Amino acid sequence: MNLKNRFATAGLVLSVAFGCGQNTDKEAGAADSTAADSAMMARDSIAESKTQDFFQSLPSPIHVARIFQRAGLKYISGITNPASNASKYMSPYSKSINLGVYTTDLSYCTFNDQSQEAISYFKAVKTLTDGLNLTSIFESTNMIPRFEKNIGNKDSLVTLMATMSMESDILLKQTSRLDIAYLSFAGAWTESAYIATQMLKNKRNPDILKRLLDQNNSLGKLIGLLQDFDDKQEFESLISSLSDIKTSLDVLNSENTTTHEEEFKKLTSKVETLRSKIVNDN
Amino acid sequence: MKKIFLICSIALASIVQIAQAQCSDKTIKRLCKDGLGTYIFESAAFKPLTAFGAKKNVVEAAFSVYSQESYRVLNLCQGFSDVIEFSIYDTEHNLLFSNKTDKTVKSYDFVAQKSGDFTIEFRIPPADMKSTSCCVAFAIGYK
Repeated sequence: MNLKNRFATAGLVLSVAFGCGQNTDKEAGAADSTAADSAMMARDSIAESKTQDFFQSLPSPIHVARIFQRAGLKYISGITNPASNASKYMSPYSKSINLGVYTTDLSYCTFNDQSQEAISYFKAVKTLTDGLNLTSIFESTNMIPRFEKNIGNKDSLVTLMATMSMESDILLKQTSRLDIAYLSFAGAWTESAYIATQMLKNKRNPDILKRLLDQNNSLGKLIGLLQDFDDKQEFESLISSLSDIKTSLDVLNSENTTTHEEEFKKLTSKVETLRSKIVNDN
Repeated sequence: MKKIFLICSIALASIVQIAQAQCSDKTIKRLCKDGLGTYIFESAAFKPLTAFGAKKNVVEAAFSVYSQESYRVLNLCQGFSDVIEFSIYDTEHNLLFSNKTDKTVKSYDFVAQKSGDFTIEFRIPPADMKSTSCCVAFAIGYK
């Protein structure tokens, strides 16, 4: 056996060890069922090794939606991505990023007492998690019937969303599927920025604007995390769009307020363009 | 030679297995549910100590906070010989909390005064530096 083969043997033994240790749930075993998923997971390992000295913790999209709601963000009918689009997303990329979009839409409807719409988004989230082999998020807690049973009880729905968020967050980290986690956050970030800018376009609310500008920090982190996957064209394009949005947020966060109105229009337009690309990308 | 190499590989794999068992998803979820109380889950982070390298005695992590929001940080470290020392720093890296004087404290509640990144720092006890059964973990909750 030459040196190369010996390393291959060691690698095989290690990969078996890692596989047994990580895939504690049944869907984790199916996680690499497609070539695309395998490629994504390989990149995950690279990203993990680059950031192994510290953890990267992003805020929960549900919490971000809550913060916007507390700041006065009201429900605008028809602004969210129709739940019926969920079945149209085919690629792992579009499923992952729209999972985040729907998580924000679900939170937005729940916090604004739109229970019937919320249940549609809950099912849309399930459709996409199933498509990404993350079925245990819903199965282990029998979540859909519990959500339906608690329609109208906002506190219970928020608790269920938080449970879903925890199951998802821990599962993605346990199985090192960080690309899904980051893409989902990118979708959630864009959707919340879209809803906020659409409302601000019609009526200026300083509290909502402040919370929108606060999102610059998590956006900067997200861009850095996505750069570990920039060898793929769709990631590259996403990073470019998000970086462009960040440029506007940087200007709006600066002390020079003379250019703010013009820059806000630019920001709104950039967010609209990216959001349209995300929800219409199959 | 072949046998030695195979034995070494299996031994290394076993070490990896033990370390990962300390950071199982079920354990982390249970600790989150038990420790967060009325706080809502925001995020969790967990890795075997071995993932940070043998010489690392301080592990840091950043997490995002929003001004005027209430948070709970939970220390979920597992498998250490003693309760691990952890500290929380604000956006300007001012020390807000440390359990140095009372290591039985495993969580810290606060209201963020400013939006930005807070830092949590774990000090790894020298006795555990080479341990393969330790898990560095924490969770964030909000109200």
